[in-house]
Parts: sequence; C-alpha cells; structure tokens
Amino acid sequence: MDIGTNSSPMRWPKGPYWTQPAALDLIQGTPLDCLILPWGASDTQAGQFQALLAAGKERGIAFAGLLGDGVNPSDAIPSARTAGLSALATAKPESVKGFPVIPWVSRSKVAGLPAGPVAAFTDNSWPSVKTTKRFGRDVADAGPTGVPWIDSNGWFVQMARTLLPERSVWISADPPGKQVISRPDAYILAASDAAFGGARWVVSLDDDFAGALASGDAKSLAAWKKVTRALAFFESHRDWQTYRSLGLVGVVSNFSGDNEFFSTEALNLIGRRQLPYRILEKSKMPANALEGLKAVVYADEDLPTPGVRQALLGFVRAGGLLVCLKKCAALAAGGTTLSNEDPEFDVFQLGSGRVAVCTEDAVDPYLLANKTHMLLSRKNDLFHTYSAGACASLYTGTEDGRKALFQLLMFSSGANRNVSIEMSRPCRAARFWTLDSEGPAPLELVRRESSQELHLPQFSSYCAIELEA
Amino acid sequence: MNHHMKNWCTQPSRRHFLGSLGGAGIYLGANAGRAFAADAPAKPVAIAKCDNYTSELLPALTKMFDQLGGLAGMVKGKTVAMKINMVGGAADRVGFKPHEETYWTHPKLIGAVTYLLGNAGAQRVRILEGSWSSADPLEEYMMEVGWKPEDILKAAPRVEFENTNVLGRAKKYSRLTVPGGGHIFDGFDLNHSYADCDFFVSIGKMKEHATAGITLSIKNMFGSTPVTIYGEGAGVDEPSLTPRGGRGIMHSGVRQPSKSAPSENDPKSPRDGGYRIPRIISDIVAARPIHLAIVDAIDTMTGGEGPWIRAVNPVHPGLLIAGLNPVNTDAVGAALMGFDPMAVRGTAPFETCDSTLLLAEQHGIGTRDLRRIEVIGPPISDVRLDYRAHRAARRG
Repeated sequence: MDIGTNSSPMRWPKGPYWTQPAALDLIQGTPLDCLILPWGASDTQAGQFQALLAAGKERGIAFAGLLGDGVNPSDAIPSARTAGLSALATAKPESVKGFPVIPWVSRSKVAGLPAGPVAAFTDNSWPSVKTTKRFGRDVADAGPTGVPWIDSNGWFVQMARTLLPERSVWISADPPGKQVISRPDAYILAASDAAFGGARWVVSLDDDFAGALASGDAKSLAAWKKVTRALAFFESHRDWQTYRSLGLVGVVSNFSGDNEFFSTEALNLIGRRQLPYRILEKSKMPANALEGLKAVVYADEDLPTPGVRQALLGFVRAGGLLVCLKKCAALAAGGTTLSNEDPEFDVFQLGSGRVAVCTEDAVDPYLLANKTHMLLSRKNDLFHTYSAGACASLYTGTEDGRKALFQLLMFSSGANRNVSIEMSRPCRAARFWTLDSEGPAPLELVRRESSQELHLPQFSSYCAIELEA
Repeated sequence: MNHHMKNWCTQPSRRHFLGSLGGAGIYLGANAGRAFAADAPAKPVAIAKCDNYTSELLPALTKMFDQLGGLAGMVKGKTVAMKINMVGGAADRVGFKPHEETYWTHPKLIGAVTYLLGNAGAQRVRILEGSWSSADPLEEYMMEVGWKPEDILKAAPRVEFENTNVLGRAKKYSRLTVPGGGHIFDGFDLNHSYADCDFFVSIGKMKEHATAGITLSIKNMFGSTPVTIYGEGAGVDEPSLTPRGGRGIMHSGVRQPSKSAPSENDPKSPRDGGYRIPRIISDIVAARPIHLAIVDAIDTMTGGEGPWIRAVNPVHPGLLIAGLNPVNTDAVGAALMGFDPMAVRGTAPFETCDSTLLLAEQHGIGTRDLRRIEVIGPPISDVRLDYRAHRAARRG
C-alpha cells in the first residue's frame, strides 16, 4: 500500500493488545488507513507487529515506521522492507535513500523538504484554551484584548499548505503529558484544528484512553466513535480544502530563518483578531498575488527584491495599505507623513495608499496585528462572530466567487448556544453543517441594516456554513 | 399604585433619611458637614413613552429637552462630552439580540442626542467610552458590533469619538477631584475629555446590576475610569500604555490604581464590591458632574447589566428618561423599574450593596426623594415596568 495525499494517519498505541490483528477492528469503517508504528534498526518491531502488519495489509492499511531519535535511517531500511512498511517517517528525511520517506520534522523546517506526497510536522500545540492554575483551579489566560488565548495550529496549517501546495500536511500533536483525556471533545478539537484548514491530525491517544479502548470500555468506545465520525466528516468534505482564503490582508514573507518568528507570529495574531489573511511566499508571488487585498503586511527585516518591491508599491499607489518593519522604512520613501496618534508607527501617504512603518526595531507582533487591523478599519471586516467565546474561524471561497465557506471551531467545551455571525457580504442561501449532521440544514438569513446575520443552532466543537452568493 | 409603591410614596422622607443614617454611619462619621439629603438639589425629570428607535425617537427627545428648558440655553457654543454605555466585550450578546437592544446605549439614541445638541448650537460633541480592555478607537469598537459610527459623526457639525481607556489626544490624564473629599477616592485621573468640556451628558441604559443593584446614568460613569490606571493590568507606578483586563480591582480592591493617580483614602475599608462600587461611582459623579442625564429604556433587559449575568432577559419598557440632575433622574429611573429610590442596603434593589443614590445624595449631588422631584410626562405608576416581577414571571 502506498502512502499518498489521501492517506489518513494514526500513531498506533503501544501495548500487547495493539499488536493483535483484532485491534484493527477499531479503525474498520473509519478513514484511518495509515498506521504509524514505532520503528528501529533491529528486527524487533518487525517481529512484534508481524501479525498486525499481515492483517492490516489484507484490509488495505498502509504502515509507516517512525524512527526514534537515535536511529540511523539507513539502518532501518532493511527491516522496514522486510516487514513490508510503506514508508519510514523520520526527522532526517534526506538520509533515507531508496525507500519511501515521510518527513517527520519540526514545523520550523517547513521549507526545503525532499519531495513526497506527505509531510508531517511536530512541535505543534495541543489545541485548547490556555489556562493557568490560580486559586487551585484552571483559569483561562486572556490576552490584551481580554479574549481568552487559545493554543491552535490553524495558522501553521494554512502556512504549510500554502508553502507545500502539492502535499498532504500532517499535524503531529500528542495529548499533553499525564493529563487524562477521556472525553471525545479534546480529540475532536485536535482533529478539527488540523482538518478545518486542510491538514490531517495524526491521531494520537493518551495511554488511559488507549487502555480503555483495549479493554472494551463501552464509554470509551462510544467516544472513539465520535472521534472517527469527525474524521470522516472532514474526509467527506475534502473539496472544501480547494477553496481559497477570502481575507483582505496579505502577509508577505519567506517565513524562514530570521524572519520565521515574526512572520509566523503575525499570522497567528492577525488570525486571532478574526481577520482572515492570504499567505504569500515572497519568492513565489504570482503577478496577481495582491489582487483583491486591501492591506499587506511585509513581515521580513530584509528589503524585498525589486520585483516584489514594485508589486508592493504599485499596490500602495493604487490605494492599498502596506505595513512593514523599521528596517524596511525605505518602502515609504517619497511618502508624505500623515498625522498619527500611535507612537509605535509612522504612517505615510504614498499615491492613493498608505505605508505604516514601525518606529522601533523590535515591535511586538501583537501591536503590528492590531495596527494593521485598525488602519484597515473594521469597516472592512468581512464578518463578526457573537457569543462564540474562544474560537477560531476560517472564511474561504471558490475562485469564481459563487460559493463561500465559513468554518467555526470552538475551543471551550460544551454546547454552544446563541452563536451568531454577522456577514458583510450578502448571500442568497446558507446551509449549516455540524460534525454530527447527516446533511446540511438550511439557515435563515436575518437581515440587519447593512448586513446579514446567521443565527446558529446549538452545536459543539465545530460547524461549517456553506454560503451561496 | 400597588402597595409597595404607595408605601414609599407616602412615608415621610425624614424616616427614610434617618433609616439611611444607620447604613451610612461610617460615611457620615468620616464626612460630617456635607449637604444633607433634605438640601440636595432637585431638578425636573422628563419621562417619555417611546416605542422605537426610529420614528418616535427624535420627537420624544425633542419634547423632553423642551420640557427641561431647552438645550440651546445649556449647550450653545459649548463643548459637550457624552459618556455612553458599551459595557463588556463586543463579542457578547444576550441571545441573538444586538447589544443595543439589550445592554448598550442604542446608536440611534446617541445619534439623535448628538443631532439635537448640534442643532442647539453645541460647538463640539465628544462621545466617550472606555470600552472593555480595548485601546482601539471608539468608532472601531462600534464597528465591531456592526454599528455605523459615521451616522453619528454626521449628526452634528463637529463630532469626535474618544476611547477614554487611553490618553487619546492628550499627553497626560486629567485629575478630577471630589469636592470635600470622596467616600473612597478624593480624585480620579481620567482621559482629558472628561475635563475638557463645558457640558457633560451621561446616557445610561436602564438595567439591574449585580454589584450596584441598578445601573442608570450614575453607574454608567464607572466606565469613565481608564483601565490603564484602574484595571487589572494597570501600571503600578504609571498608567500602562495598553489596556489589559477589566476594572475588577475597583470591585475587589485587591490592588491600588497606578501610583500616579490618587489612591484610596482608607485601604483598610471593606473590600466588598457592594460597599466599594456604589461609593466609587458616587465619588466619580461628584468629581465629574453630570449636567444632563439620559436613560435609554426603550429596549433593555432585566436581571443584570450584561450577558455574563445568567438571569438576564430582554425587555421593552418603551421609555426614555432625561433630567438635569443624575440623582433625581436615576431616582425616577429606579421607580420606573419598580424599586423604591429611598431603599437602603438590604432591600431591593440593594440587597447586597449600598445605595448609590443615597451615597450620591450625601455628596450633595441631588435628592432621591421623589416627592421633591418634578416629574414631567406620564405618571410613573402608568408606565412603570416592575423588573423583579418580570424576572419572576420569566422564571415561571
């Protein structure tokens, strides 16, 4: 079995039960068709998993061996070949010659990976509301806006999919530490956080949950069913992943090296403001890259190449807003200073547009995200969410503009009631999907003075609204 | 008139006053020599039935302001500052109801008042709010809930917005002091707009309040305090540049404001929000007098001040209240909500707090005694909406 862009991965739990073919019944009828096994240089694993591998192959399941830190990839190839693995997964993919490899690398290494259908990334967050122990209980941390901080991999998923458009992106995020996660919500959130942006979560169970499944615990089996149903939902809507961001803000960077921290933080924090964005890798910007945008954040410290510079300044002169770091103040050359109460930015008029330049060498990415939004003005907001609490959203649409999709992912547990979305762009019809729904339910469009609202039925974790222009 | 209303309308005010002394013993001991309740000013308060924020709004306001003597004599050639109510976060709604239909001052009302102020010759109208934990321009905060601030900007010749959580157009905060000293604070450092005005308007929403019992035009002023000084994330020595968190420290007193601002008179005083908040609000209103108090009671809610209170329910009293004295106005407002404005701690709506009306009255700001207040418009008993009865009915 080959591992391809449609493969759905799971880190196979440890323990005697999980080496038995019967364990495969748990993934029967689910999208999971690629099991990641721990692998080494010796033949130990091949022996340990022999029955499982044989039964799996009969069921059309692919297996990949995940190499430990100290394993030389070339040493593991013989046993992998003998066992019939489809690929090896390793943090050193360039060391694997003559055998299929899945890069299993830190997300800071998204650039420069060897070719292949899949790339798996580590060092991700376990999606959740960030909390701190205070007065003996968990209290949500709030950012400067008062909105709870959420740990999400959403921005990275969008970036990785932009930088690696031909690949399937896998997000490796294991349940945190010794925390016992018995409810399905946390797993559904982990799956959704990766999937709603078009990646796949490498399913990974905590020891207690895996143990409970192995022992046939009814409650855990029911929870597992909910998790796999969520995975199936996203697999059945892969066409949504072809939609493009409808954001009006572009973030231009090479997203690597010295620029990595600031550019990725900019993505993270602009997204937190519910401001959709378009990711633009500056060495691969097509001629129409800035079309439809109203603001661009040039997030790098080094000045752009003449071609990119020309594109950016053309965008500004035509009325766009450009925000850049102090080291790129030359982008504002020839501009007229505009009055501005913010000491952290100088704003210049250039043609019909504006250039905002950070006044300090080290600017807080939060301030940059905030300033970008305020200079752009909320009158350009495409939507507002109400009573949604700690959430992440993704607003995408088809190239022809006929269909749009609004996805909402909730990070707080429990049922979400009275969530509403105000859309600034009119639409004719709206359909509401949840992870549990067999099909979409029509949503009434509630007219406000200059917008439309969607009043959502109660849902948990995730919902999607298909919109027809 | 029900028994409850009849009772408090017919009892001698002296009894209420003496009764209130017990509840305010600490205060009176420390602040002897202030104006007594019987001497506190009394000015007319206008009530208008107003069923909507469209066709009925402007005629109702125009009539009320005429009944109060006309705006022109009060605001012509003056800079007017107007504190509105946008409490809490922009993302929170009561059910699917827009903020303005439940717990925020309605933008149409803000626009209509602005228009009438401009029409009366106000030189400039500044609209003020220190929205929760935000440094964003106020007009941006309005857009966050789908409002169109340009409609308000266009309502009068020179309209400005100011987010009073931060310095805004000034280089430093303005010190406003409480004449004769305050219950808790002798002064406040506020955004310059609270000082740089000739005429001050507070437009509150008619609501109950979890900590202060009721919120009308006086409690609305709590939001004048910048969270950069009085918030959880305020700077220790100097105001912070970025707002962070809400005004929880004012409730709990767990820390003092930034040292650059006046600190509490007695840091050992009770740390109970029901003791502190009514006193702090009355101190603020003493430091920043309100010339025109307006209460939006067209669409509002019962049960609390915002959606974070579980018991809240939308309600439509269909009323506007306006007066030239905030204590008088709020006393009428309290009565319209079915409460006794002479009530003291332990009785509705002040079951767990002191009465802001009483404390403000003791500052000499105005009387809460309805018998001394000229109420213009429909009788209170005809248009009253009993908030507690409404809540009880909702609970079934």
